[in-house]
Amino acid sequence: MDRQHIRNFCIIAHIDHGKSTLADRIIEKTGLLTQREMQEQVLDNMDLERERGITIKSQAVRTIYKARNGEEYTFNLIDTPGHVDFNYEVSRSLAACDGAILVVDAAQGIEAQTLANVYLALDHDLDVFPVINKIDLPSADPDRVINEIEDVIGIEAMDAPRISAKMGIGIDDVLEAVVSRIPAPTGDEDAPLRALIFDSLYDPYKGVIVFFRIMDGRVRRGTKIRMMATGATAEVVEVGTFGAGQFIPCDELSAGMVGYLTASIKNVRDTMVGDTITDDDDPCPQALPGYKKVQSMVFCGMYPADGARYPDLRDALEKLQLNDASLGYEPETSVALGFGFRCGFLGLLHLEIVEERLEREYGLDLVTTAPSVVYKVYTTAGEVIDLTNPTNLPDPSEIEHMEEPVVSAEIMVTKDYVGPIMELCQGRRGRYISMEYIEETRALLKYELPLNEIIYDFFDALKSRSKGYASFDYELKGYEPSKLVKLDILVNHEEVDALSFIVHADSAYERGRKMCEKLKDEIPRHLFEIPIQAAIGGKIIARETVKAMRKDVLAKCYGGDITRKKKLLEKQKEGKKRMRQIGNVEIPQKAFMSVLKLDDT
Amino acid sequence: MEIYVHIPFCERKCYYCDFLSGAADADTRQAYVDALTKEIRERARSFGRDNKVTSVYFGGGTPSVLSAEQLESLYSVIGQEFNIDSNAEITIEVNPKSGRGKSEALRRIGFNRLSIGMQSSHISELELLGRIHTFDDFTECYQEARDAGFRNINVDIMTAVPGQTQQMLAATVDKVMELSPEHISAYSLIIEKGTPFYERFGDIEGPVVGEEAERKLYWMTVDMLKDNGYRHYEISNFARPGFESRHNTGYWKREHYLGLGLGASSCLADKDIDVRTRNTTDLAAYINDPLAMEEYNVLTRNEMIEETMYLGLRMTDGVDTDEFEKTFGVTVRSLYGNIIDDLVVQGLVYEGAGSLSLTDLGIDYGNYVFSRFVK
Repeated sequence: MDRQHIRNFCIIAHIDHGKSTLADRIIEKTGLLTQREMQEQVLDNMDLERERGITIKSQAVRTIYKARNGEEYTFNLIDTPGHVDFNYEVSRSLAACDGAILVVDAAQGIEAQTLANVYLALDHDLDVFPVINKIDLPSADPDRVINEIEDVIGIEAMDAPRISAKMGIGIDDVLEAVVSRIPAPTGDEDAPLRALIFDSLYDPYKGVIVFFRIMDGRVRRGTKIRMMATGATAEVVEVGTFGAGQFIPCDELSAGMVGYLTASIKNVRDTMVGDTITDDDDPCPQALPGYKKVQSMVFCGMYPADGARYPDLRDALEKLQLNDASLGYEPETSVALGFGFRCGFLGLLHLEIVEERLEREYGLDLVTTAPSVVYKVYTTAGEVIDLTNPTNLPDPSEIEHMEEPVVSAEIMVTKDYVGPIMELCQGRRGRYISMEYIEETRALLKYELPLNEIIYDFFDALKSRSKGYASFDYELKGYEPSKLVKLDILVNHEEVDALSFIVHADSAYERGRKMCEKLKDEIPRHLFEIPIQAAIGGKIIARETVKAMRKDVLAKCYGGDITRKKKLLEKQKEGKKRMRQIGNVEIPQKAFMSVLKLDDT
Repeated sequence: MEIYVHIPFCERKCYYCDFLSGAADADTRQAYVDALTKEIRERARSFGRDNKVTSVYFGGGTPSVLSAEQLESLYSVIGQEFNIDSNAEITIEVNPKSGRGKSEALRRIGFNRLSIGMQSSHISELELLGRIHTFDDFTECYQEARDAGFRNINVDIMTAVPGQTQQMLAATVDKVMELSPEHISAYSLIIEKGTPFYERFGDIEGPVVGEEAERKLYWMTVDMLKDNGYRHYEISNFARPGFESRHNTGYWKREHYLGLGLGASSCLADKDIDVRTRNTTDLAAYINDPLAMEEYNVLTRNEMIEETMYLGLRMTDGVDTDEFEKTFGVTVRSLYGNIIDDLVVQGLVYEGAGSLSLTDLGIDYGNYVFSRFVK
């Protein structure tokens, strides 16, 4: 296949603007699948993705398109996630592409992540062309949106295809635009092999499967490859391209192509995403620029509910990391929870997804502690500690000062909701930077916000205060000094390390009080009374009490009664909560995440 | 097999009572006796003569509101239709007032155990409860029963009555013990929905006298009766050795029983599995068709296991774990090991050789313990 007939591209969009639906249509139109075989959202093939209606992992698919000029083109389409948590995944996908389709909702127009993704694509030197989607909506206003794209992003949009991916309108125009507006890949087939690993996954039958884009050279079964960063070598067992939901083996892949390979790779750690693959017998002189190592923004402890399954959790994390390079983890121990891992995530959604995948795909029952950001602790001894676990906070007397991460946030919102959103940002210790109207009715607000104020429930608060009309994107700005304290929780007079969290001094009392209230509701009654206390540096600031269980016994239970009395017992039975024994108190596992729900009033 | 016969009549409903019972005129009572006779004959057809009846229990309501003739007629039909063991326990509940003057007849009919609803020795409590009799009515009824030859008498007393002090309850218990009945049932008052008491004391959590006070009254009663030679064999039941109620023990051991009459429940075997049924609770419907059923529940094996546990734990001897294994082919431990360990640590159950029973603390938290054995 000559390179002039290959198009490697991706689709970028704000969440819910219809990226996955367009991908489905492209696959359908190019004849890889019949309509009957199409499942909704072919590319979202993780159960979780379908249930949540979002794309988490990048997925690739190869299709053949017969263009109006009569020639056949190979399309390598790479789907990308839309959620801000997964910008890192987007960036990986982009590295494998030569161009991008920008999908913009004809009613909503440009949103915060539209901008973020476009800038990311332009950073990767991709050619971007816009597509106006959802023109079938009564509220669609394509002309306004086209103006917006030209004004705000500054890319030409006058002849952007106007489509409805859902209704199948205008898809042919999109396909033609892919041929005409996205460049064919460049590269030298005869040069030494240089291929970029953009993803990988572990398959129980094939072992490690590496997804890559070949820049130069060629690779085939039997090629002895070397991973330039890790130095690992292996012999290729199989190469191939991506069908929808399946792998299609082929003889050889060459420069410009996107595909997968399996090899005699022993250790999952040997195939790092971002690494360069070369031919061990004919290596290239220089590796491709890899990706920036991703920074985890949110950390939490993950512990197996059953301590004996610690090794299983370790194996599962190792395999998951292969498929999700943005997941970090290292072992830690907790007095309350035993052996586990401190895990790093891109954001809270990422955390939830990983947790769910560990439970579903690996059958693990987990106890997860409250998420925390990374604080910098400057000690009086002149050291700087990156604090990911509140438990490790040094004694206050050894702390010179502390710093917390701050993000630059961009919020796009219709003008009716500017007030409530500013109030929200103010309430979260936000610093106002600027506001500009990008058109008459919509404003772009810029704020600097402490990361720990937005990781928990900021999205939800934003949505509810704007009735869904606000969008949000952020990036880490840096660290700033802050008045922070560690809040400890004592259950039945015992400090439970896994419940400690760091909080700004001004809101410590309020949060401590709410935390005690929350735990009071979560912890079931025991035979004895259980005090729940919040403390800062040994000083109790709040207290609640879980009352002792009621003494109660059916006085009478005779023949006629039995069916009815049983109903009473069934009612009394606590819902099958998963519990964790701390001292002589049983705490439901989900209580360890209680701190997340302190604001939902 | 056991037989229960329900007589849904009384002279006046007590204020705390939520049983299926009420006042009725003579014609209704006779119509009921006729319907009941029909039911006895019809139901008897499904039981062979080799199905021995070990206990017959006339409960209510107040069975003693029926005339001696009506009671005699009913019992003789049962005797004709079923194979009643010569050692069977034949009980009838009587009200101290309407029971008077009937003892000899009841003996003659064949009843060998009498259960008298005394409740209290204090007129103030009897009035509060809405009882129609006095303590003197009770002592006379009791004496009459003894004179007629009843050698197995139960007396009901009630604890945790609103306003009841420990002294008051102790006086009631003392007075009963002076008479030395073979069996005493001491029930804590429960405020049931739909009763005048519910209207009066409302929907409160726990007993009117307070949770701790209720438990104190309960344990005081237990201690007094035990000191006087009564065996505390079930949460609310006490007996001289050998006089434990066989009928009620049958319920707790999950023996099969046939319930006859309005709203009566049955637990009968259908091959390996048990079926719990309940007759209609509508009096007119019952008189019209005494075979009308309101509930028909085929138990699962798991439900039978759960019942065995929470009913068995009511008895101070507890669940017979060897018997359990024989019945179900699995050990109690294999099903409930973790739960039992948990409850043992909490001091709520005691695991003996071949038995599992509640500790004293376990009795206090009985419902919690029972609920642990329900899925």
